[in-house]
Amino acid sequence: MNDVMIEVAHLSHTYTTAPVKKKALDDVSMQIPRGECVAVIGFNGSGKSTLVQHFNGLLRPTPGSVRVDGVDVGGAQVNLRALRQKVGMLFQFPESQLFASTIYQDVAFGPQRMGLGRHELRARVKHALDIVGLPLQDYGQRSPFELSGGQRRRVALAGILAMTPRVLILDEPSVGLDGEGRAEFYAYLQRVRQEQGVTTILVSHDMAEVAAIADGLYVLHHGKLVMQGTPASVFAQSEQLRRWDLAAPPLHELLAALRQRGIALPEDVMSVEDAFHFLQQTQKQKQKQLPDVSSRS
Amino acid sequence: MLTNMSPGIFYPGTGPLHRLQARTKLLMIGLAVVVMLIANQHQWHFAPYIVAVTWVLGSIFGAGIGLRELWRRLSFLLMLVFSSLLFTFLGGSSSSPAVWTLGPWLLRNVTISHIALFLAIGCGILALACLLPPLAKRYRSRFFFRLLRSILILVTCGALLLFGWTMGLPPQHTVPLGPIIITRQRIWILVVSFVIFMALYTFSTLLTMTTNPVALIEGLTILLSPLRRLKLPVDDFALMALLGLRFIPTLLDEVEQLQKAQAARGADLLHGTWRERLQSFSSFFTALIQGTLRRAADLATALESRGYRSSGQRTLLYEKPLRRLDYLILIIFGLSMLGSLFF
Repeated sequence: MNDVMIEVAHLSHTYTTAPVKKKALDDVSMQIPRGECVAVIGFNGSGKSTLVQHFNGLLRPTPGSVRVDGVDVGGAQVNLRALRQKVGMLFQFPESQLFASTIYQDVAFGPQRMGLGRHELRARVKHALDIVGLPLQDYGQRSPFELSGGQRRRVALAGILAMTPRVLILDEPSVGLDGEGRAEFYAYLQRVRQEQGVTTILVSHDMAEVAAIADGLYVLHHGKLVMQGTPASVFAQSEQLRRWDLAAPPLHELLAALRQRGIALPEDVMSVEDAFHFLQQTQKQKQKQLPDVSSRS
Repeated sequence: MLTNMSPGIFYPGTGPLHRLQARTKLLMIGLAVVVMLIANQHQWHFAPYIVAVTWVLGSIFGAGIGLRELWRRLSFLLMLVFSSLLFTFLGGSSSSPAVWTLGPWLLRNVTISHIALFLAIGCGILALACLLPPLAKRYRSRFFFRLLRSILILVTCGALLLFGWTMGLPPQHTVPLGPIIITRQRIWILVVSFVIFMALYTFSTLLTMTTNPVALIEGLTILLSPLRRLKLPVDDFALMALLGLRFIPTLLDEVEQLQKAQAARGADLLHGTWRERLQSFSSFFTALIQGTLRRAADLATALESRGYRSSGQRTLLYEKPLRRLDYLILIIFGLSMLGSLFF
């Protein structure tokens, strides 16, 4: 089995409908491995959303090519409905796309169009709602409009998950959520990844929030892919990131500054918890050493 | 789908039509309407319409907008007007002198049934040929191909019905068909209403394409300002119109975004059974109307909290006096249109 899920080759895109033409993507090539969680990062207008809209056929790749799971998206015979079912996509502010009168109907909309039987449909909706923490028996018959913003966003996520996609694209999933809603959303997202093993693509302009969960980063600037690699290697080049109007997370800036001052920090320190753990250990070592020092003097 | 239903979107440019003031263009359109309606009374006097068509062609040339772009906007309406006018052309007789008389033809029932049979067989074979795999596969997605196919099937059915009906009637009996009388008045009405529709529609399309919406509303307000004497709320109207125009592009963006989002969820307006398409449609419009209403409420609150209301006469930040070009064009246009009434 091929272990590349999405393969992009020399993709460019120009928006022709606007009176003033603008090149949104410029010769982008990338490969996204199966089952990984990657993040596409860039400043506003850098072409992130344009790029991911090619992955489920909302935009046609001209010129260039996009292959999803071995299928050429730009081919003449491509089945767009099957592709969109395989590649689930959650847009910005997904809570504004809810429309049905009950949560059950809203989540069932996508899988219903796939022509499933009634029992299969119900099982899928139940499973999807369970994953996002809104159990069917409590929430199924309520209106989506009486929920909070974070909960409605999770309903929208369930609507995508119920179609059992192999790839999940999330466009700025945490914009407009408060800290708690954001943490909750990412916790549920992690659960989805662990249980279903979907390839996940996050689109964001905020590096701090993707640092914790992404395996790989792709940095876009003015439609060009300017950097790719693991979060650690990308964050290490904070000088260059600043040139592309991006900033490495504060923690990584701090770590970089500490390394420059000659403090030996291991490369795998990635999150606040890791750093805390590391500092605790060094402190314990120092406390062990301290009594020796005092006895000598 | 959205790219060809964006009405009245401003195209930036520097052509002569762009440099004219909005007031001038509005006055010209108003004058054109009045003159052409007056000219309608004097039958068989084509001068005003020839002048009007000349101005239409001149303004298309002066707008500096691609012909293809313009045609995309005009074609549908012009064809609609033309096809509806054709029916008035074939209307009943009137008192004015006839130009051309067709028929009456006397047809025997046998002849009619033979014609119907031939028609049914011919169209039936063509329709079947369209359903054959090689043709059907190649052109399945073409709109015109599908249209042609349905028309062929309809004609076949109609001809078969006619054939069955005439078979039952006495074969040597004759049926009179016609006569079709085309009078001078009919031709006059056809030509005149087509020219009026075409001229006004082209003029107004060019107006919105070459005038910045804000300038357009300001020009309209200035032209309407005498109505303030009559205690009409001209300024309220101007504010509402400005806000409305301002949010058309925003709304279009939102529609496009929403369309994509629902497409990603499996909503598909072009495929599936009618019930599924209706569901997709409702999924789209429910969300759109909710979003629009929410936006409108937010906007009203925001305007209110900033004290943005039309209390009394508004002044303009940039006062734009009419320039020499405006006066020149207005005078030439007025003289040529009015003069054409008398020559």
